[in-house]
Amino acid sequence: MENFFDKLLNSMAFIAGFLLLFVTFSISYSIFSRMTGLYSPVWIVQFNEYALLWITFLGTAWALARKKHVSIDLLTSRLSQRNKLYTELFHGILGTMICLVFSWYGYWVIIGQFKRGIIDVQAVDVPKYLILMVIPIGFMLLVIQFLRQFFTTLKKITRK
Amino acid sequence: MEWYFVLAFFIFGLIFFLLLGFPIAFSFLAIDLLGIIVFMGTGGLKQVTLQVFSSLSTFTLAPIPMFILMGEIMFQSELANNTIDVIDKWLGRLPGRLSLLAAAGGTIFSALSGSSIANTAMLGTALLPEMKKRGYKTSMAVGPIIGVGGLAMLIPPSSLVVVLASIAHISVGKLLVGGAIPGLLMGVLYTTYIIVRCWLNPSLAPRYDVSQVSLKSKIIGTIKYAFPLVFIIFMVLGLMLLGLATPTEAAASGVVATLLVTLFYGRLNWKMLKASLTGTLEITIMVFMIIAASKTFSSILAFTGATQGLLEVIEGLTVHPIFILLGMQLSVFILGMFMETISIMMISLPIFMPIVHMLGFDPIWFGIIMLINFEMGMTTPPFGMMLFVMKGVASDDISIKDICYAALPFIGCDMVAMAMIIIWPSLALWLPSLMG
Repeated sequence: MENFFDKLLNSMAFIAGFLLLFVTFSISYSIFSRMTGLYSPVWIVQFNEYALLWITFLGTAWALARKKHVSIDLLTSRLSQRNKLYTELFHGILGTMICLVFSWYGYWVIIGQFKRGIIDVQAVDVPKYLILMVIPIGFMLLVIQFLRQFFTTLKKITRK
Repeated sequence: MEWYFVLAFFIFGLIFFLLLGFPIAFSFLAIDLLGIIVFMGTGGLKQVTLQVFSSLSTFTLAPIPMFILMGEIMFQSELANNTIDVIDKWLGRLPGRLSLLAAAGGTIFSALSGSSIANTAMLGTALLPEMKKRGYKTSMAVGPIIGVGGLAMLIPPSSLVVVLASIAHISVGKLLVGGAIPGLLMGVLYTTYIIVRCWLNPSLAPRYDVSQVSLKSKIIGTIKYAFPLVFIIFMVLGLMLLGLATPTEAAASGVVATLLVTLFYGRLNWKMLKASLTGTLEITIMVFMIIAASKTFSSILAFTGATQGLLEVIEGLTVHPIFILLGMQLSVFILGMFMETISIMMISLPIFMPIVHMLGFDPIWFGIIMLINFEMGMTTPPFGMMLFVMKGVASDDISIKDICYAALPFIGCDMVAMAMIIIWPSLALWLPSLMG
């Protein structure tokens, strides 16, 4: 199970990396095509905007697992090893609760958008729920990652 | 509830979560959640998904990952080290030549990479061992590197400028271009300080004999290693200034130019590319999560009337607007001693920008002043990020206290630059004005 989740996070990050390359090269192509008078697809800007959202929420739990979401260790770095573990335990609970709430409400927003057939009207019409669904998914992955951190820390505390 | 209670609730609540060591993005989300429940009711929670969408699905944010990617490729492919050798050949027996090499190299890398941390780490790793061997005192070895490392934040390409511009709703292109002259000015101030200091007290940086390098070898080195970098700088700053590309397009062409240059040197390989992409993703996701969470933060501040309340108080003040500007800068300077740059931006800008508009300050000018202040914040003890980066790359005999003292004169130079820009706004505004 542990392994499966890590693999899932890595593959999400892989897609995010691919989207990053898509952003870079599609924009480069649009300058090139403008300068040379070639055909430039109208959807480039629109899909780049979606890509920025998707990169963030596909990779956010992966970044959390790698401890890349910066924090301020002004006080926590001075705590004893045991108290540090208790703070981490608290982070796990707090993170789980926050992300669970946002994932839950995000999920209902998506259902609402789907039922009402809301379209993001731009160069290409795209159903909005398809774009937004990465948000509750990303928050759900964060919930799982925060829970994993909680249990790992709990194990460390009980072992001591 | 009175607006000042609301404001205090948000600011102290946020600081509470941050001090607990909870990641910055999630601290903002925590206070968003509390704020929505207390002031708006659960109906507001559904708005968060839409707010996250509107704050991240914005084309103006696209330069951020690409500027970071440029810097990562530059760092991973070790392109920068050759440039140091080239500048080294050109500097003769000048007083404090290695410190000057750091100043010149750092200013050039700032025009190639947007990361102050990468800039400082790279210069420190490349130059500190040589400085130590030549008997340089810590103040002249560490100081210039910390000072000039921070310029990456100001001189384009800079991802932090894009973050600031998008939160403050000011033109990304103009703010990017506007940072160039103040950045160079700071480079000149650092250089002047180094020369004067080493001239007055030669023991700080003992002179040593440099082997003679022929003019031919200098020119060949320059063509081989410096010209390709000029090409990258042109592809970003040049295209933007000439009006040929938007900031986002300039960032994309910068990445392509950097990839072409690494290909030209035969350093483009899968391992380097993978490391660059991984590094870029980690930083981008971290920054974007904070942006997503903080957008909701500023909306709630406005919704609860806290922003309006503060504006009314400031409108009623009878002091000269310049004192309000100085007050804002002082508060950012103090926050900078304890907090990380993006979180200071997220807390201060939603409160400051309405004041800036009300007082009629030029937002670009204000943005540049803030950036210099943020740069100082990264250098001021006790928790300046650059001090720790420097400690990480310096040898064990250099204490964090020595590093802090070494950085002080350069913070002084930053203050002089800030005062000059406050007095002569055209230093920051002339170049953006050419963009029409």
